[in-house]
Amino acid sequence: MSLLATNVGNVKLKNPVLLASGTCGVAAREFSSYFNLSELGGIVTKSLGIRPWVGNPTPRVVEIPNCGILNSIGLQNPGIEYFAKNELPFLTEQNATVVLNVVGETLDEYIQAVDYIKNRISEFSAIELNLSCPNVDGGLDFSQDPKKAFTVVSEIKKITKIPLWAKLSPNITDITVIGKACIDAGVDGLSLINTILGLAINRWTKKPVLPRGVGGYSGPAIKPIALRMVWQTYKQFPKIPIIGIGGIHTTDDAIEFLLCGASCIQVGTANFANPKASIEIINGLKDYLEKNKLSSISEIVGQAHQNKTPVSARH
Amino acid sequence: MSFKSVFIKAELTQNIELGKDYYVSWFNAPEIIKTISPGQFVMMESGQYLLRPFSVYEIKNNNIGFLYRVIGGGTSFLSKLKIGDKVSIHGPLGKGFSLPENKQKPILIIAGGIGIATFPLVARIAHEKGYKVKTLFGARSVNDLVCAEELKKYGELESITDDGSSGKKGFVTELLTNELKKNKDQEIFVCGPTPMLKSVIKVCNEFGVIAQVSFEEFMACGYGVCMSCVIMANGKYVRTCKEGPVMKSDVVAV
Repeated sequence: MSLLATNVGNVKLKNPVLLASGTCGVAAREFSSYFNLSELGGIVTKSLGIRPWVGNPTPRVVEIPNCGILNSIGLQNPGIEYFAKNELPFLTEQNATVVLNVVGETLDEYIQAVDYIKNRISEFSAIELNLSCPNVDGGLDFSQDPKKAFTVVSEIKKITKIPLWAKLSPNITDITVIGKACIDAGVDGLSLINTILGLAINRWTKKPVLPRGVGGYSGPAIKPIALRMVWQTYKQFPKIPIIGIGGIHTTDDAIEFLLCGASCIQVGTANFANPKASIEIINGLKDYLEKNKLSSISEIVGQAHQNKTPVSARH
Repeated sequence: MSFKSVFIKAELTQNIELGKDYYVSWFNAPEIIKTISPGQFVMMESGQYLLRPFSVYEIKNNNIGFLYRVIGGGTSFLSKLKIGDKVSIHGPLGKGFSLPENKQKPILIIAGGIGIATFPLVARIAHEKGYKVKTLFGARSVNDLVCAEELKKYGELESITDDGSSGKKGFVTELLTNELKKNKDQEIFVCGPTPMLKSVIKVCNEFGVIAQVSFEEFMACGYGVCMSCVIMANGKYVRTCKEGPVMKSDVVAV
């Protein structure tokens, strides 16, 4: 067994590096030009609904210099049925580990989408519920109201045995409140974090750049915020597996998330500038284990919490 | 056409100033040249967070050239690179222009401004394969009619400028209208700024001809995974980087 193999709760992964939803097309097909999809810990599909979603008008992305990007894609996706018929066979053939990301406008839509694949436990390693898209009306509701988060997670748990992760929004005062609601409802893992609400202004037109005004902020600038939320959540709920997401571009970034308590990580916006970012991180983690004579990557998960805060870092 | 794109570090071999603010940057990139087809593009590291799309201007002895006008941080970064500097290049990407099966069908190139950058390679290959090539080139002024001489090597070229500083004063759509009045049976290739593309498509629609148009939208990734560079085609948002950049004019709403 590879030193990088890891368990995220009851989900077994070859290594702790996955491609994040919304940053690898519908089903990561495009990445197969650069490496075998089976080399990854897994791929997380585009958020899929029970019906196709059209998506937002353009421009959909604006670059924030030196910091990352602001996006407003609006969850354009072909729907779960199209995915299951046209994309999933390719992923199976490639021997890829697949996490299905699901979205709905209403509780019923989440249920219908999961219901469509609920018994296909051999094809999906996990389901990740997107409770946190900032780019559609009401997209954040499930991630800002603990009662709604509890309801959607518990309803989905009733209909499928596929392990369930909930992807939470950072656009909230205390992420552990929503985390607790999901845990109480039986969630198997928490994906932290989705994008941060932001805005970009065009000084010449004197209007927001993106048609909906706000967009989701991602890239290097959000890493400290994501790390803080992983840290807080792990500290309060050390037993619940955390999937770390947010500004991960390098092996060092990935290690920091693992030390904070993430069992695995997802590479997102970094894929846009470098299709091989995830593979470079996997190779970097192998080197890290060898150099530090570790027998398993899971040894470092949460390690930052065991060490006392150095005096110089106290305030 | 199927091709394999690569993500490589390529070395700058030459940076040529073509005129005020216009440059051609050459990079050694045999891996990319191997599979390239005319009208494709690459994403190139240019000192920003994301890579930037550049259409391929020419290929020569393992080198790939990009013609651009310095308009912002990315193009300014490129224009200042020194020989031997290395940058990431990702490509070739997207779908390019398709030459017609009928070799007797003339190729009519319609270029607006820096949209000309994609055509020297297209025109040369078409010319070498025996197609008759003609270029209609609209630009702001005489200073913006870059690489017109080069295109003349492959066929006739007519130009028109917004300010009348060279040739007639007006827009390229006038030249196109005259040309289509003479002969509608031509394979039309178009590249330029979006408002110009829309005007050209309207003229094509009036004459009932279908053009191959290279579209442009802001793109984050360039290889189909971010869904940002979409345009509405046949009532659906499609990716200009993957289903395009070259698409048929009749699928796009203008």
